[in-house]
Amino acid sequence: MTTTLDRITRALSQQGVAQDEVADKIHTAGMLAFVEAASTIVNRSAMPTPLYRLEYDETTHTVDFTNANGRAYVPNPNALDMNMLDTLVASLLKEKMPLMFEGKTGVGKTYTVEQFFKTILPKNNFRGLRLNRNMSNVLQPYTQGKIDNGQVRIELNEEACDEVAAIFIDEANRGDTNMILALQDGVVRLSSGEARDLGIPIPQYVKQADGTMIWDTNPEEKRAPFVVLAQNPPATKDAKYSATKRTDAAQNNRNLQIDMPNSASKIGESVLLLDAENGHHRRFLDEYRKEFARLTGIEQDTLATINQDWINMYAFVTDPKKTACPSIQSAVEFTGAMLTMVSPTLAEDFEYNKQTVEDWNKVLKGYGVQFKFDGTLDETATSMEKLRTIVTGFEEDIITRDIGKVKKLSDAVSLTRRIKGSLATSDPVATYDQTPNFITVQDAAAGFAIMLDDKMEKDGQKPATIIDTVMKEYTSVVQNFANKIGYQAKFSSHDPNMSVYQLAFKRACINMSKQSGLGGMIRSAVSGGTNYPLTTGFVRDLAASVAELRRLEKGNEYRKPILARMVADITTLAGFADQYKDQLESQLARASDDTEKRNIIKSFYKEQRGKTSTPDIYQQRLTRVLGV
Amino acid sequence: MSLVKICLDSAEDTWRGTIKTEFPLFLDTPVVKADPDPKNKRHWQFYTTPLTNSRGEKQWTTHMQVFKPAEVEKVFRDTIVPMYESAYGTPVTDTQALLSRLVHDNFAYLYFHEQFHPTFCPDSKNDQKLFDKALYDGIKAGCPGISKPQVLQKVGNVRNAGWDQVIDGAFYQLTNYRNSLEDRLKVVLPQANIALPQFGQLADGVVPIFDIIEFEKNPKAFDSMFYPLSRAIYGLMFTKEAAMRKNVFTYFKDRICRQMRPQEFQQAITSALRGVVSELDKDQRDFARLDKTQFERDVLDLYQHYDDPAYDHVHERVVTAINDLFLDKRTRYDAMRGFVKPLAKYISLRQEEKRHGTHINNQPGQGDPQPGQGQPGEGQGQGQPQPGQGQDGKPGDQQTAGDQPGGNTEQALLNLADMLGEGEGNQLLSQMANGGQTGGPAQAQKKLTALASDQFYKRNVPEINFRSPDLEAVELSMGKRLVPEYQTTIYVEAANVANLPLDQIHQFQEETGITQLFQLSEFQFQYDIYDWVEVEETDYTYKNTGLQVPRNVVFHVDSSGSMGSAMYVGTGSQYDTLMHVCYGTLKALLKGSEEMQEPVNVIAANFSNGTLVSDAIDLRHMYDTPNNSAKRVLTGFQGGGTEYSPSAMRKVRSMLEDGPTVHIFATDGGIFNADAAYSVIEQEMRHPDTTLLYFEIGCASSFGHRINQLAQQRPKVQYFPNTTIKQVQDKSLEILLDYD
Repeated sequence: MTTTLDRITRALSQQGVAQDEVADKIHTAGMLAFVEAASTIVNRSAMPTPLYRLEYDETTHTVDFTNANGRAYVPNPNALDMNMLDTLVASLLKEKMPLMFEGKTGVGKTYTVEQFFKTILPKNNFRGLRLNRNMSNVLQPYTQGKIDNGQVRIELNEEACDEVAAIFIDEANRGDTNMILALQDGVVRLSSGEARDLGIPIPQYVKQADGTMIWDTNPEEKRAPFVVLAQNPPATKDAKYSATKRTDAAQNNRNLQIDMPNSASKIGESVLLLDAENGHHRRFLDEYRKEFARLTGIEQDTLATINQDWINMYAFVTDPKKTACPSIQSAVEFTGAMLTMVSPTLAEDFEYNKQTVEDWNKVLKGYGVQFKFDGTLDETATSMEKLRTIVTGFEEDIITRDIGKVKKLSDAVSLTRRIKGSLATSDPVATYDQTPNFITVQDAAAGFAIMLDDKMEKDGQKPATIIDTVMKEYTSVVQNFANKIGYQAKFSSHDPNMSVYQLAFKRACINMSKQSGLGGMIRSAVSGGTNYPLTTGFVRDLAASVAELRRLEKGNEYRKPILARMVADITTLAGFADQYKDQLESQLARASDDTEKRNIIKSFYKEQRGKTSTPDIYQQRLTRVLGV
Repeated sequence: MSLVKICLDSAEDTWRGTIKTEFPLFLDTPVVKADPDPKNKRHWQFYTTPLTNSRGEKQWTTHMQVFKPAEVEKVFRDTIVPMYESAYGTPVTDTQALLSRLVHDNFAYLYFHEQFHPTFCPDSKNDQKLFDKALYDGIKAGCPGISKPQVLQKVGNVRNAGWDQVIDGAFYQLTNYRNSLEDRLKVVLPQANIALPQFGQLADGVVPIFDIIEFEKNPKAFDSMFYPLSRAIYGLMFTKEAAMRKNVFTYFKDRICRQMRPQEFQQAITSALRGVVSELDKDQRDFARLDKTQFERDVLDLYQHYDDPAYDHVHERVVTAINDLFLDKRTRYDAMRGFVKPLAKYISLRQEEKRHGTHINNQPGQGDPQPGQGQPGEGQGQGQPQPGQGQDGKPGDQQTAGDQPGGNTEQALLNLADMLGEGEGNQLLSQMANGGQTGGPAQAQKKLTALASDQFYKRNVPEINFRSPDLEAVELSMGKRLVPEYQTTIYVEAANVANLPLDQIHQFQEETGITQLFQLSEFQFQYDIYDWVEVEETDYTYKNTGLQVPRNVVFHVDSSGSMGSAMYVGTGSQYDTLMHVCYGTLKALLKGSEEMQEPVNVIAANFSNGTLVSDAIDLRHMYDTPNNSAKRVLTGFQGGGTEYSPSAMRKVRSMLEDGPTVHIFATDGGIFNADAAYSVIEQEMRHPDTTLLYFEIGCASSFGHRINQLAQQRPKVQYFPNTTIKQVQDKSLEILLDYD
């Protein structure tokens, strides 16, 4: 049912909004109205716990991270404050970012999530489950059991599969956590083989044969159920919760776990004055109408039918695909630098990268240039010891799932910053649409700060120390490298060119043709000439970038592992070009400019990486070098 | 508060504001300041020590101590202000403002100086070792006629100055030429609560200010020339503008040339600078993009035209090249070797060539300093270990603090013994141990000798194999396995069975063969709940292993003339053999003591003309430190007759703790008072829990024969005839330690 969307579309068309902009405008306004209305209603009956304060200094590239621990701070226009409601909203709007709140009994996990669900959805569109050892089947809302000829039979409840938009699983670690995974995949699959996609169909604005656009619902395109988990700390962390289990590793990979502090002493008696009446969803829709009208300039009456088809509107405005957000290359590189430095196997990784360069150098010796990363890593150096003291102070090592967690947190921070920033302006819709939609080093740094804070032993150093250290090294490396190769801009977290990989790749594509110039002829003569002038020029220029990176070391121990990784990655790109030079050379020869050359190499890599014959090293390294 | 104190505080703010982004890992560095102390010998001092914080982590602590602020202010006013009035690029006429800003900038630089030691050089033990090796090689090449101990002494005396050259170069480099520290200071300084904040950089030539003040405070002739020459190099290198170079370098040059011919001065300065590149191979020069010929020409041009602004670009070229080479560890050591070689002859043997009043405090000996250790040396006498008192306050020890006169030669010795390889390293140790003269102060020489001897044996003697005679059952772990453990039963209505984890139940039944879910009736099911628990699987074997660690170990060593001479270390003499036995035993017992976590007391008795008996010392401490009472007695060679005093055994007995005791007797056997000695040993063996290991060094003796007979009667006496170094080295001595 899309009555409300039809009415809004007509109203916007009357305002002069072009047909191809209608869907985007409704989405942006609808999402912002959703956030504002939900916040207004939830805050009347709950006090979402303040979680983090994040401040990033764009001049010095430093992060100031504070784990709010339930404390609310004096407003700071440069800081982003995130509370529990913000994380719920970010999780709802992002794909595959289910939340897991972990905290002691009574800190408000269950209450706040219930208030949120009661606000944004009608009663029959959400479920709450409380698990225990013997009742752990989280697919319960979607199944029904029958005794048929003495046999137990379980079958799907198809109606529920299309109507449950959100599930709250309380005490998640008291039941079978593996079953939750299936639910989070958005599919219910029974042992009988019966299966069905879960979620609410998302309305699509589609063009008809006569060229007109209409709202339609495709049952195949569903907004998967929004799953929120809550649990007490596992018994390994807090012995009084003896019936709890350590969360399954696969669950941890999937969820964005947020530690919930006890904010009782900060909120205090204010909690007694909160609104205790029901009717959250009705009041939410009233607010939503007002907000939407304010944001778009249409009449509130246009949304008069929303009580009947809110669930479709909900599916559209909260569709995670519409808030997908890529990472800018420098954020990817910074993440790599951070992961390098906090790796429990730092020295091994360093040696592996060095060896990779050495091995490639043997393969590439015919190019008459050297790919090299020499030097040793002295882990006993004072600065390294300081870093390692922090890293070894983590309660757990950094593992692969933490990378995913950082990505999710960065994404959540980026979206929250964008939404909050927009809603604070006089024209939120335009501001939101004009704000660059990518994850920057700021967001990545914030993601790391939250992740590392969770891993730090409580009396350890603040995570900002390690983040600022790596940030300083990373930005210095990029800045110096950029200046060395002629890109004179100052490092900015929003500059898409400001990245070692980007600059090295771009320059190699620009310079590959210089192989035919005098310098190229001399080099060719030295190395015995070549039938692959462009590939040769490309490889040689990458070698020049490697040489520049080597020169940036300057006795700084903790810069070495970052550089070694970059050099190994860039050298692998040279190796890739060499291995596929037959195919690449002819394609590159047809390119008219360096942009086209870059696209050719990227596309060619994308084609190759899926093939079984393509070596794994390219998959691991070139995805980040080429940013594809 | 005095101007100097105010500037010291504001400089700390400047430093912290800068490193917040530039070196965040060092932001938590504690700073300790001192109250004014007019009686102190020094007007100020700055140093860094590693202390252990409450979390048990090593933390570098910066000490910024100004004892005589008024005196410091006066030198600044009288000397520095006139010389530095153009230090900010434009003449400053407000003398008071200039004074306070220069004081601030000087302190700010000193904060960085102290922090840069652990940040850049020496930033690790390995860096320190490679650095010492570079200095050793450079000095050896520069002074081919001097002995290894003298080379060592020069290394010890110059290493601090060498480190300073690297870190002050780093500081100059990073605060100039559009580098990151310069950028950051441009943000921090205008916000600082200081005079002349409009100048967003530190004073040009800020690095040598400290040295000019030191020169002014010490107007006497220089005792040695390395330190003054290195300061002249500072004046030439660490001044960016020709006008400042003219003031600063000329100041040093004039002062030095009162004692040195100008031609020699020029030769020393230019050779040192050229030397930075001279030892680099072609690959290193190519990597650094350096043309050796051009560089050498630049050095000469810079020297000849140092006060000419037209040569500022040459200055930048030379200085950045040198600083880069020193900063990068791929070239640091070769560059330092070449730098020190032409200056080697100017390095004093008698005193440390360093800035007096600034240093990094690195301890001699093994292990990191503990809280309370490592107090400053040089001239102020605070907390400095006194003769007869060790750094950890143990009575009878004589250790050397890192910065006593004579420098950190002990640490250099340890590093060089590691770095020079077994052959040359052992040569250096044995030459030192056997009285090789370093030319350093006598007290320092004595300690070095003891350290060298101790190190020689620690490095060259393997542990002797000690075993218990008993067979012991040894538990072997076969790993862990999971087994199901019944928890409870619940009864479930048929309608609720669908809510049970059916897949899990099925899998459990398949894996274990245990039925978990039973249908009791049409309406009811029984559900037995199991949990997986981990159990350890073990097995046993028997081994002749373990060692009952004695409570007391007593060495009775024969240092009579027949055992060799005082220069015995590494000579193969009988006393050298005896020391192999002692160190091999010490190593084995130390290992046992640490594994069993049981304390062991060590007593040494050394007999020749007289019998010296040491205090009872804890084994760990006795082994670790080269100068404790037991070690002094053990290693001291008397070289007289051979007489064992029975009263010595009584004294030993009075110091024994309750518990098993091992006496280790090592002699060539020709004991003058054999009957008395035998009698006292035989009586001692009557004590319960007492055992004797008798090592006969060299040929068989009648005394040895009697001990051998005693050994036939009493299993707790063991006789080892004709013990040789080879037996110890081959580990062919195996001792079953039995007390009963």
